[in-house]
Amino acid sequence: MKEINIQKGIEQLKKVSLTNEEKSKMLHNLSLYADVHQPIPSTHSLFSFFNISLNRKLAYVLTSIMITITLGGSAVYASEQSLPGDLLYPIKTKIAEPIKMAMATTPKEKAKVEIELADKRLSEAETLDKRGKLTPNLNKEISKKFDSHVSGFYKIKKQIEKKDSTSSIEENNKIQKDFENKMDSHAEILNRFNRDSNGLEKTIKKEVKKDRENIIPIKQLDSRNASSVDLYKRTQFQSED
Amino acid sequence: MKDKFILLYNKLSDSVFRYCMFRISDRDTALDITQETFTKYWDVLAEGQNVKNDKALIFTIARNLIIDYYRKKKSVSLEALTETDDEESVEEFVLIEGNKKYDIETETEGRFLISKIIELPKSYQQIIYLRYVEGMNPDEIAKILGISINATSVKIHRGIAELKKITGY
Repeated sequence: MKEINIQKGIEQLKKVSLTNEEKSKMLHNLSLYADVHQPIPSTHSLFSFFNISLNRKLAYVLTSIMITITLGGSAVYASEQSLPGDLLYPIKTKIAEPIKMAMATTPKEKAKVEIELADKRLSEAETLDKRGKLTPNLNKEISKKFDSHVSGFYKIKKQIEKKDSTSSIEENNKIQKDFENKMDSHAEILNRFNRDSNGLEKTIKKEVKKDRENIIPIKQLDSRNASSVDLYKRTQFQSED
Repeated sequence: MKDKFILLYNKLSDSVFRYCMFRISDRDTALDITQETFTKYWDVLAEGQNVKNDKALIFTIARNLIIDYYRKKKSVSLEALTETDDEESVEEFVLIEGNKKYDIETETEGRFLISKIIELPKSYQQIIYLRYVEGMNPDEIAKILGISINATSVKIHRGIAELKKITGY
């Protein structure tokens, strides 16, 4: 009986409520407010899914798929032969090549891609030069792209150097040789690049020279022989950064 | 999103209004605060914020608006200046502040019950009201009042024991 009284009291209190008129009027006001204050696009919208700072690799891959579907695979393929100044050149450098880099999963693969792209830039410059179309602006543009690939290469090389194993030393030697060979084959056009902006050619020459002095023939290295590995470490070029 | 908003409005507007009424005992002010509560709730939804418990959020907004209402109304008095932090924090759990008399139309048992709830120790009042009049669970009450679930459960248990004692029920 006593419990029922509390329950009865609760039921009576619950009858305190809005009248129908108050409720519908308030809803009308709120509805007007909601119409004026529409939702703000979320930062986690589909657009931000392609935000480079969030998911660069996936963004490039998915963007390329979209462009490929839209333009057809032939456009991407055609861009492969394009040169600076051509309509399809941006597709090559901003879509096809980043995809290639994104697909490289190990430092070794990435270093190879950087060498390949640096080599491509030099080849493009040579082709334009032969055709008499290597203007100062194009020269500057290609030089800038080339510089970024070389910087990228040395950064990756440093990552490989940090590994303390015979296989990484072997990898490093081979990668370095590949890089030098490619650069040597484009010596003439390399000299034509604008070196004043960052002195990159001087950096390359300095690092190539040091690496040549420090490379120990593979047969002398033995991961089981600690002294050989220590010797390599002591003579290895230490990057300033 | 607007559908969800309207659904929740229809479901909770009476509860929110009732809560405001029992906190303020002034119909016009309670109507204003109820409307503003849902306005602010819409703003939260429009910003795309992730809301885990809509009911708890709406009541938290209402509670905060009521606290702001009382703070604005408080005159600068010696009593207010000498209020300690402890007194102020306990006041936030009372059902109705100061010596305000209820001006709410309700029947005998309802009037009696509410008069007894406000006789409870201050820290129990809102908890008992939200639990037994609005039917909220300890988790929701804890979120609204900003206290732990354990403390809420303990206060519910002690509060109802105290209420039974003072009501004679």
